[in-house]
Amino acid sequence: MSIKTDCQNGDLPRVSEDVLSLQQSTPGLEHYRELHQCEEIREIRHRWPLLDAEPVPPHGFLRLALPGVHHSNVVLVTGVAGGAGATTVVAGLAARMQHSGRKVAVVDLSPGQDLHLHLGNRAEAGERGGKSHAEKVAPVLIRHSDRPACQQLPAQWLADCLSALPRDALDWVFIDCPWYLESAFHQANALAGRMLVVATAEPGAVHQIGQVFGNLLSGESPGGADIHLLINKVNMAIPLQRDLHALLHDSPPARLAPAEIPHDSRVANSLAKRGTIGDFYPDCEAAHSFRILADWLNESRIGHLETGS
Amino acid sequence: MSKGNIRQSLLFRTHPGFFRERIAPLFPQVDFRNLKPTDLIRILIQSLWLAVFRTHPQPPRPRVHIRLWRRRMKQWGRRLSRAIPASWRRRMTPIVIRKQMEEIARHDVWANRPMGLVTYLLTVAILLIAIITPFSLLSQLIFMLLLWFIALSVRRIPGNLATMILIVLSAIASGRYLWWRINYTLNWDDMLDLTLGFLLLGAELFAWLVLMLGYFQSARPLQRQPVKLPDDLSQWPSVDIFIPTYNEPLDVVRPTVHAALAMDWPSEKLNVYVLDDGKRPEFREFAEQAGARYMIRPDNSHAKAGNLNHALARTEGEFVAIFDCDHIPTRSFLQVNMGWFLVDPKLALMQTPHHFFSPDPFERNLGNFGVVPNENELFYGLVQDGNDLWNATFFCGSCAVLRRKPLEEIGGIAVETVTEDAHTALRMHRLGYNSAYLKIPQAAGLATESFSAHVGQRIRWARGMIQIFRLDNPLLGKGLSLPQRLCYGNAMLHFLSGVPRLIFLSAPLAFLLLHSYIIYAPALLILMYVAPHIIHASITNSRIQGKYRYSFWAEIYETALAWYIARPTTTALINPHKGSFNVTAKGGLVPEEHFDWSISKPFLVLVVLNLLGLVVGLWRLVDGPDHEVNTVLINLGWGSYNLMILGAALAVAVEARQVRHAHRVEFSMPAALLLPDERYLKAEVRDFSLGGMNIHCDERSDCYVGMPLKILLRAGIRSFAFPATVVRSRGGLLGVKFQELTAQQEAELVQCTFSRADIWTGWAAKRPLDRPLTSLKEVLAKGLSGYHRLFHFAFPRHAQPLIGQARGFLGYLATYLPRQPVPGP
Repeated sequence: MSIKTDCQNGDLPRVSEDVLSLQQSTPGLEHYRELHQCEEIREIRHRWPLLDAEPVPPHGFLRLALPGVHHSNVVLVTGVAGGAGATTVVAGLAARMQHSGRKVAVVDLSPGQDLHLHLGNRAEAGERGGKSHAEKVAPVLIRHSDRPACQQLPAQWLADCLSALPRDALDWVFIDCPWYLESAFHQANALAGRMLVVATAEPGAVHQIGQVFGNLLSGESPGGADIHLLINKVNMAIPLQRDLHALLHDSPPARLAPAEIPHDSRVANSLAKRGTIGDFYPDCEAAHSFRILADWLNESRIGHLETGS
Repeated sequence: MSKGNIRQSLLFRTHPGFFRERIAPLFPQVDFRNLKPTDLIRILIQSLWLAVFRTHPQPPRPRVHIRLWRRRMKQWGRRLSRAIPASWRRRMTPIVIRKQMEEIARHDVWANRPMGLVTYLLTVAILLIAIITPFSLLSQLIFMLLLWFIALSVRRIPGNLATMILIVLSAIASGRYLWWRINYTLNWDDMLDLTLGFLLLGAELFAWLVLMLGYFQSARPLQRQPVKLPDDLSQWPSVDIFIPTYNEPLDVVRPTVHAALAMDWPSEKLNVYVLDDGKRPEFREFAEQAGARYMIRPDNSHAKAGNLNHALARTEGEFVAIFDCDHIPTRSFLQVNMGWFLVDPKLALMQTPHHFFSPDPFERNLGNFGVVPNENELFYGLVQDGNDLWNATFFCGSCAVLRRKPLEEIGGIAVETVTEDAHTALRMHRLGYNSAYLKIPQAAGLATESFSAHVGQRIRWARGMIQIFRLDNPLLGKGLSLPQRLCYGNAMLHFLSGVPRLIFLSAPLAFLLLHSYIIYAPALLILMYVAPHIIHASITNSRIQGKYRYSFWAEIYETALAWYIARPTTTALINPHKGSFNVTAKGGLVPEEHFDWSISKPFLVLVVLNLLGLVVGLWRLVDGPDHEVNTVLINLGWGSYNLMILGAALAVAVEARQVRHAHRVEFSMPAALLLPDERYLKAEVRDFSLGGMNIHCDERSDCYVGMPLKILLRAGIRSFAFPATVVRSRGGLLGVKFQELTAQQEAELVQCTFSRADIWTGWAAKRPLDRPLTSLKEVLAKGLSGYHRLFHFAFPRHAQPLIGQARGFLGYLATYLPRQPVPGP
């Protein structure tokens, strides 16, 4: 698999939960080795040779991470491949944050410019400047007038946009930007304190993960964004996805986000109903995942957005 | 003025609801809105009763009494403690006392060998004096009260020294009793008395010996813990896993093989062998497809032992792990157990507990699965762990790892007896090898399926152990240390308990029926000696064994087996070569509840005899000489106790229905459901088997019966999906049944469930502590339920209405009885 294997496991527990619970009840087993699992992983690699293909050499489309002030409350969400669900994740997180009373801005730099569809009624209320409380805290949607894919983003455009927002008025900024839109991604990367790379457990995406992280991690400077991998749309009923999922957990290319979002038809249903999963099915597991992610972000946030800097 | 008012003013001057509120509650058995002619009699009886006894509903008195009493005791205690200086008071908490005790136990004095020897000799001398000094009735009473007081104040103090004190106290009480029994209570003038008296005394001496050896064996369990394996995988030894099978169905064997293959051990060093004495082609096919090796042999000589020896000669792993074909190991089994082998090169055997996830016949038929520790738990929780301290843990035939070299040195698994396991361990011990025990359940299997099968299994064990006792007596021969001899000796003695138990069950009859004074002493004196013996033994055993066996349950377990092991052990004691190996049936079904008449015959005989004894005793109480009243009373009490225990044994013979093909294991683990429309629901497994699961899911309402879905389970970082169908949705739980699983999926299911490292760890955690009196009550209740069931099954179905009518008539008569008024609104 074309991913960095020497990175730390991060949030992943060192052993499986059943072994952990045995260790807790029985001293003397601190060095347990999950050998059968290792063997299966080896088998999985053998079963899907594509995943073990050599990494594609970096093309240079991503230069080293830009020096900049990385704001801990600016989260850059980027999909490993198109369709990985980055926009859905931004919408879901924004909705969740807004639900818990945080003020949120979302920046749509995706080529499809469809974030407002996910936000649905919420975004319109925000644009209208609604009266009710829920509408007042509706996310501020920032879009570039032109499609960013067609045009180079003016330098400092993003920073200017953010500094134009009222000081201390925002708790979170989520930027939806694919990594291949070079100028936009650079600007976002220079501002964001946290980067969520959204990937699906599909062969294409997994192969891409190697490229993306090869670039991102090689250029990571100490002050750079904190990168986490978020696995989206996991469908364990499909053997290939199951295997890829196990591989991603066995040797994650980056630290894994504390939750992953399962494949659930209700996520798509919610979009069709002009909303996010949390609006229509607040009790389902996918909504729960967004909740975990939002709580995790809130906990780890260090400071407020210092606009203008 | 209205009519009602007139009545009020003239007659009673009452308010309108007076009758309803004051009078009616005094006659709870009468419905005043619907009066019947016979109610007149009821009202009359109740009025008479009310006139004589109290008329107002009283709060339950005794409780208040006890509470008051307790409060007073506390006040006295406080007053008393105020008299003690504060600095002393601080030292008197159990934990501080324990620490002080431990300090004493750790003191350098004990390391000094002569000093220790002197102390031991002194202790023995004091013990002897305490035992053989004759006392008058009063001094015996005072002495025993003193011992009892010490025992009660010590028994809550944690730590080993307190246990030792209790053991010494119990040894004194029991020693005094037996000394007295031997010296003063035999009637040498009457032949019958003497013969029967000797029989009882023999039984009591046996019980005493077992009690003392039991203390020795279990006073200080070793509580060994796993040892780390080397970091370098190449240093890990190779292990052959043997799964012998003979006639068990493939369904029982499959999960065991899957789980054995999924163990966390380097795959090139792990070989799983299915040793099929049944020589069944479907087993071969399954084993080869699953990745295990399949082995058969030309003959079936020496049953399981021969099967293992055959495989032993054709494999070459450094270690051999043996699992009965229904014992499913967890994936951590080898890593937990193998560390000690690398630390101790003389270690030949590592045994782990046999855990059962299906109820044994006692648990199923008495309905106490998971509530009361089962019969096995004492042995695997305490006895084997206690044996480990003396390096006397023996092989139990399954869930164990053996080193090949010593096994080959003794010529493989022993084939001379029907309990090849214990004999094998004995031989290795004789060659100076060590054994070890780890009290971590790392495999689980099926308990015997019926009481008769259970009896059959125990007959085999009993016969085998006595065979070893005769052919290769652990008390004699070379190579064993004294503690090892005692531990082995006790294990074998335990199986000789059949005859003494029968003697105890029929002893009161000697006096009640035959008028024979088997204990030739005044009743009060008997009580004065026997009560401390029983009480101290109970207190001490409750402390030592309480976690693994509740008080008095041993009575049921041993009584139920007594008759059946009495004969084969006696036979084996005389002629050790008789008898053959029988395979214990497992995984069977009991289609309908029924009473096993043939197996309960001996109990029924004893019940009839004891009942007869009770009747005669009651008659003698009325009609007999006055000086015998106390003796009759003691014997009546003993006889009724025996009847209750026999009743419990009868209850075990009522085979409860057992129609599950796969037994459910209660265990909570996260899961998820994937519905056909690709919705993803979070869920939690509550119990599982390889056939289906009960799942808790908040969005249960989305699932209908018959809905196909996929269940997602995790094993480590891997996830698996299993196709299933909803079969019921009830009581907050969703019952699902797996659809046809492929062989691969079945293996994965085992890995997600039975193979989990922690699956059997929390088993006994939820159980409350042993409370001897509560436990006694429960045992007696089980006895009563035995008679109830006996009655139920003794009358065939057409007699049932008769019972119903009789009950109805009795109930009708009961309506005439006066009763306590109900409390007013």
